[in-house]
Amino acid sequence: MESRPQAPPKVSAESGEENPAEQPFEQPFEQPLRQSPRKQRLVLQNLKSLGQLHTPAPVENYIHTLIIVGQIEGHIILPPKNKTTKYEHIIPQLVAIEQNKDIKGLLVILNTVGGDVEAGLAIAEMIESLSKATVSLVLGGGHSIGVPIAVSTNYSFIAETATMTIHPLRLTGLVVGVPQTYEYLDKMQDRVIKFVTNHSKINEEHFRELMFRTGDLVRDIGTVLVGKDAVATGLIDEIGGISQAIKKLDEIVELKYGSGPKEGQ
Amino acid sequence: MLLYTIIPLEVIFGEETETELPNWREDATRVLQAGHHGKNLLLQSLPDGRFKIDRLISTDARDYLNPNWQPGTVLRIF
Repeated sequence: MESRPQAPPKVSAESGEENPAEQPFEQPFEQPLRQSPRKQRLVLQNLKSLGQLHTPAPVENYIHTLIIVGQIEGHIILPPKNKTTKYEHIIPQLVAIEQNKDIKGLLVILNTVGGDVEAGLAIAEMIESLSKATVSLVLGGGHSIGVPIAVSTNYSFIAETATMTIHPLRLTGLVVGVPQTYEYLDKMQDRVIKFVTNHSKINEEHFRELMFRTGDLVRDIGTVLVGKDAVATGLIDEIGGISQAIKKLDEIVELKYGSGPKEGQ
Repeated sequence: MLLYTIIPLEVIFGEETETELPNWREDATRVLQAGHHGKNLLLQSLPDGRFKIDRLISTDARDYLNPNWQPGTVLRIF
């Protein structure tokens, strides 16, 4: 079962050491290629005064990454066989990123099959209201409620082979057959449609047409948009991968924050 | 509860058949260890009381290069 040698012993009652998952901050680790003059001075200073190349706290990475995979889990815990992204983990991370002065950009990487509508919209609204530079990258799939999240950033990319499925909302569980049920569903669907059309170049009519098209999906109505199709409809800004996404993120960071030093001072 | 997804609901909530891994219920015990500086570790409890790292959740990409937090690492928490 163990694929690696054991990590150093964790919390030990006698010595009252800190959780060694925190120890890595004590050890010097590979710094990124860009070393600011201030960091170099700090390192030499440490060497002279303490006799060790012990860097104090690592300089904050100015770009952070958010990965959204599997089902987006919201109000109901799904059975363990589902791979999920729990939105209660995402929200505090987004708050921390917004508050942190050193973080200037966020890369959102999506490979999701959809999930809870409210959780997905919560994440999308949070990302949309960040003051930092944001870029999304859809890899593999960005289906259903993944669509609002993909368009919530300043700029969006999709890999050529990635797909996005646009289909109507369906009620789950006990459905009471009264007109109010239809109106409720319509209202929920409108939330999603309005968000997507307000944050992308696709218009509402076209998006609804994609949503109700027959012939594309096996068990439902809707459309499957592969890479280029998603860009052609105006949903996603550009075809691209990780290098284009990071390059674009750097561009937006420069626009928002000017071309000063990004790491350290 | 509105689940807006392309996966059919009987797959999400369905019962496993005999062909599935027999121990998936035990293997699936998950514990979330709140970590340092907002980094979270998703741990899987092993039968002997130790924990195996299932996943690191962090927005700082450099954390994923840290060998102490690679998935599969076994921790001992007293």
